[in-house]
Amino acid sequence: MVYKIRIFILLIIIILLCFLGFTHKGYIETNLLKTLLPQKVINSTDIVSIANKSSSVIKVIFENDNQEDLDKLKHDFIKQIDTDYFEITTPDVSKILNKYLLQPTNFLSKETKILLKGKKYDEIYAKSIEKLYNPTGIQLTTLDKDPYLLLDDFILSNRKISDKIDYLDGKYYDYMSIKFKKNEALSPDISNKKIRELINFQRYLSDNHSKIYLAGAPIHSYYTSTRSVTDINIICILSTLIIIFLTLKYFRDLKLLLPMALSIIFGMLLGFVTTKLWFENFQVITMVFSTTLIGIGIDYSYHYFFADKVDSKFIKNLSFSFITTVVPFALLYFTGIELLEQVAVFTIFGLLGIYLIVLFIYPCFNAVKPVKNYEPQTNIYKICLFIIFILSMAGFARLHFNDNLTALYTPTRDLLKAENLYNKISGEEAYSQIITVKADNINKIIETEEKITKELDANNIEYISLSKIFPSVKTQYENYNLVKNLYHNNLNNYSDILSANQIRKLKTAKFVPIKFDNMYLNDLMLNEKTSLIVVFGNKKLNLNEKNVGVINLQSDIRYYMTHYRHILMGLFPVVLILLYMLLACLYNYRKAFITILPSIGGIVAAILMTALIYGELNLFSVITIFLVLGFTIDYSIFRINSEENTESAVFVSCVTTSFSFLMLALCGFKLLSSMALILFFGITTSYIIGYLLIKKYFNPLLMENQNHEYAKWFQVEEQSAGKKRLYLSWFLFKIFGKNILYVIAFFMSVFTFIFASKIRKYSEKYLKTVEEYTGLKSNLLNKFKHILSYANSLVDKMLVYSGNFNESDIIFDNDADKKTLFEDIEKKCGVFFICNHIGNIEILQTLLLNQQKTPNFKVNIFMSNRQSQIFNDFLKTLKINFPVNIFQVEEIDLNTGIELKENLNKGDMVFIAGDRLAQNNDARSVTVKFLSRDIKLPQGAFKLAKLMEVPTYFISAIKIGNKYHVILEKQQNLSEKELVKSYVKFMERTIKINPFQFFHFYDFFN
Amino acid sequence: MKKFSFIILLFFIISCPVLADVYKFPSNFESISKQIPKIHSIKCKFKQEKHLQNISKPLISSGDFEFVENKGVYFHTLYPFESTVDYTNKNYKQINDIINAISAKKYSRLEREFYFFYEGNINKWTLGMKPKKNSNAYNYISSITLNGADYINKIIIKQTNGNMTTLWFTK
Repeated sequence: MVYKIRIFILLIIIILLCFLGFTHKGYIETNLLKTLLPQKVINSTDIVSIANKSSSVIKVIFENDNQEDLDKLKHDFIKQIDTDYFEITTPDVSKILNKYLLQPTNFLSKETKILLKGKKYDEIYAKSIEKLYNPTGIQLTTLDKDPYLLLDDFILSNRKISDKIDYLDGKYYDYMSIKFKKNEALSPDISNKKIRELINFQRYLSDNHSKIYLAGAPIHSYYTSTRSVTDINIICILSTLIIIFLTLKYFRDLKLLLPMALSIIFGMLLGFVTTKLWFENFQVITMVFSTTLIGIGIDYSYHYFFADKVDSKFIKNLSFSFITTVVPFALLYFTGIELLEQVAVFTIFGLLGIYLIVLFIYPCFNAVKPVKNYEPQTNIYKICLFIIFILSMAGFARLHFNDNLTALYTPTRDLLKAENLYNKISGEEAYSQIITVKADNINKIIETEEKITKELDANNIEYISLSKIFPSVKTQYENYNLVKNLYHNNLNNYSDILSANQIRKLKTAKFVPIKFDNMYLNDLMLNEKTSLIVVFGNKKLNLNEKNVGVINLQSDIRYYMTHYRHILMGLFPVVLILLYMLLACLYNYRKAFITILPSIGGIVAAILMTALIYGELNLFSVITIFLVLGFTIDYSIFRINSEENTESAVFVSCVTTSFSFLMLALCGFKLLSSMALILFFGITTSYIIGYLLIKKYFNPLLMENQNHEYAKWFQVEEQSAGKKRLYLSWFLFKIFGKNILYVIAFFMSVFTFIFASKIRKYSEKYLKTVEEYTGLKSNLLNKFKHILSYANSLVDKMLVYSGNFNESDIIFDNDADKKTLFEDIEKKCGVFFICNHIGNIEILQTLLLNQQKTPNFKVNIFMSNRQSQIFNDFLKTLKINFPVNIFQVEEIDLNTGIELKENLNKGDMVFIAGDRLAQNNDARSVTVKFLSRDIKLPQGAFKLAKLMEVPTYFISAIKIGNKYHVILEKQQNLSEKELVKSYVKFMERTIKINPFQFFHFYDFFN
Repeated sequence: MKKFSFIILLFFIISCPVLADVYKFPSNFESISKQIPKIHSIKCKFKQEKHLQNISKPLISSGDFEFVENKGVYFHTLYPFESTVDYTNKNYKQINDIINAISAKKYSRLEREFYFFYEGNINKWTLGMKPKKNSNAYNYISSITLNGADYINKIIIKQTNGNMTTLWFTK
């Protein structure tokens, strides 16, 4: 019943959303620039309108083997153009011409003006006569109005001589440009339909002899959008197939696809409607980012179905993962870029929809349980990670940013050919800068333009401006006066042609201003109050006029792209810190760090590998890393809580999502494909890192941490040693020498210090305990020094066993003790050493061995099971013949005693640590006061010493600087109890020499 | 006599258009192309008479003319002063295109800009052209009339502002 009510409520919400979504008056925004630039930039500059102006033009090129057919081809094409939507952009000059004709002498060319100012009247006369007699020369006005043909001269001077080509490589060419009439209001559906019609005409009219090429921004957009739609459809089909395949594989039941689809559809609907209501419009590119929702929807769904039971723990995980995805997206809202604001709102509400569906609606469906679980292939993952590492390193060299919009798109070969052809044929020069001039009326605009163009002329900058075509009233008056002077001085030369009356009329003509009213020049005006000066060349323009702006589309857009990229790059660490703090509140600071680490690793690798493939990244790459973060943090959150089936759920959702993005990465639109590639790399890499880091490495510790607050030494995995690391270090040592080992040791220490919180904790406990004896504070630096000194001791051990340690670096603290020891050794009746884990006793073992001349002499060492195994394997693999008998500390019995006695009788030495309890041997311990704290020491070591009846020494080798100092104490005639007491004192003495050499990284003082 | 002259004048006024007004015979390029020969390269003399609106005295000039197939025309004026106009360069591209189009009988290009009129036969023909409203020439030119046989003999260009230029070509 409850479920039925829930479904009912859901249906009502869906209907309500649909109603809101389709009745709300918002519109779909397809203008990429409008989506990218912040509102205040759009309002304060004309950048978008200018970009639209230049991007609404469709260029058409006609090609034919013969001129006649070429004309027919063009003619046929023009006939097909739907003039309701398109206009052929040939400027209507008749209106302007009529204005010129009203007062022809108000308009003077630059050259004529110079001549007039220089009073070179005869030159002007000669020129005009030549023009007058020019066969087929057409005069614009009658001679009695403009005898010197000054208007003809003015018009000719404004006509830009084009380098138009109509014959190239045996083919004739012609071109034209058309544009949408109302481009901004046109919905993408209609504009696409109209362009499709043009393309159909193009195909219909093209054959072996004639060809039509289409170019220009609308054509590029059409091909890109239709291709992207096709690509995305294919991707959707493939992705659905892989979801079906994986669902069948792991569940053998497709029923769960229904709730999954429901959650995604509901999420998208909620996101879409909220965004539309919030922003009044919905930007098409936001849809691209909605892929995140699909991925996360699948993610949540699989977690739900793989979960053993949907209990409070599952809900907690789901909620955490929801909150942590919301946080980075919420921050995008504050960037001030509408696109990102929309992405934020869309994703957050979409995610909320999915979250609610999973929580409340999924239980309404019958439970579907997985039939099998995924078993990760650790070794394959490691190989993959290694490859990723190599690729990332290679990518590092190629990493750079390119914020040009053109870098987001590579046109197809055909379109590129059409563009190049158009430029060649039309000889049109690409303008690079535009000056916008604003004023209340057109005459004022023109006056300002004249001021500006004066500067441009002075700097030899080429341009086209309204003022060139139509001078201001002020300039017209100036021209009138110049012409008046000409008439007074020279017009009598025309007395043959003009009548006396005509000459008189010309000389006495009054000034009549001609105003640029009721006219509109589309190419040079943005609106009634804004004109455009089109400037060629890239010379930097410094204009200090009021209400004048300089727009360099390419570089201005690049500027904003760079600016926002920087904002986002700055925001990313903030997001990480916030996320970390949030996770630290939800879990603890260490768990938070581990949760976030795979995402960071994934993002870094993704950026570097994408850089390797594309060579350059852009604003969108940076946006994408937020998406990667949103995806991958979920995997870690589910993993870190170690649910039984989590790995399967993470695996399946990772495969489906990354597969979809891999497919998308193969699509033709560079913007989409590079984003998808980052998502693919980011998700897969962080999946692998997450698995190895959380599942394989940290989780046992995390779990253990929760179960046992304190641990024995054998329960703590040796973080800095271990078989593989030992071999790797050896290998590196062979290649690079001993210094590399110390470098590795340093990094291992850093690693251990950061991640092995338990070790850090024990170090802290130790340092606190000894603080009053040593004066060392238990701060971070000292804890690190403590761990580093252990790591270095491991290096020394390796050097010792491989015979690479310099004996002169070992010093005996007391020569008398040394003498006694060597005397005992030379007696060949055996020596028993009770050593400890303070300093590095192995140093001494080699020294003593090297000084022994007896061939069969051996050192007998007690070690733990695991230690001895690693050690033996290590020596065996390295083919080091080290005369050593290893006894396992866990297996000391009567036989051990007998064997030991026999060995001692041969003159062997025995080393046994007196400060560590063997595993399972808790009962055979003795509690003593050490540095005022109770500790447990093994009875066995001291019992053996007494039993063996050979000279017994306490011994330690403490490193001070680069030298090892051997501290020695011979024990004589002491009872077992006294021996223990003496041993504790010896330990206290050695600790004070170098407190960092205390290598008990477990709860020694418990 | 005065009256007679007037009648003759009246006759001319009435009859001239009837005889000479090619503009009564609209045609199209397809039929025209069959009735006008293709014009080949030629060198000859030219004479020009310009009647300018509101100017009583016509401007007369003459000189050498040359037409090079597929390239264009040169006017070398010798009277009343020496000057050369080279229509083959790109400054006069539009004019040159028209000349080339006519000589090569590529009328379709012109048909987009002009209405055609034709009278006569292949041995003696008159071709009339009036710019269409959407063409650039519409604002300046009202008509262009060409008379010819194997070659073009005479061209009359009438402008919208009342100016009229007549060009004669003679061997």
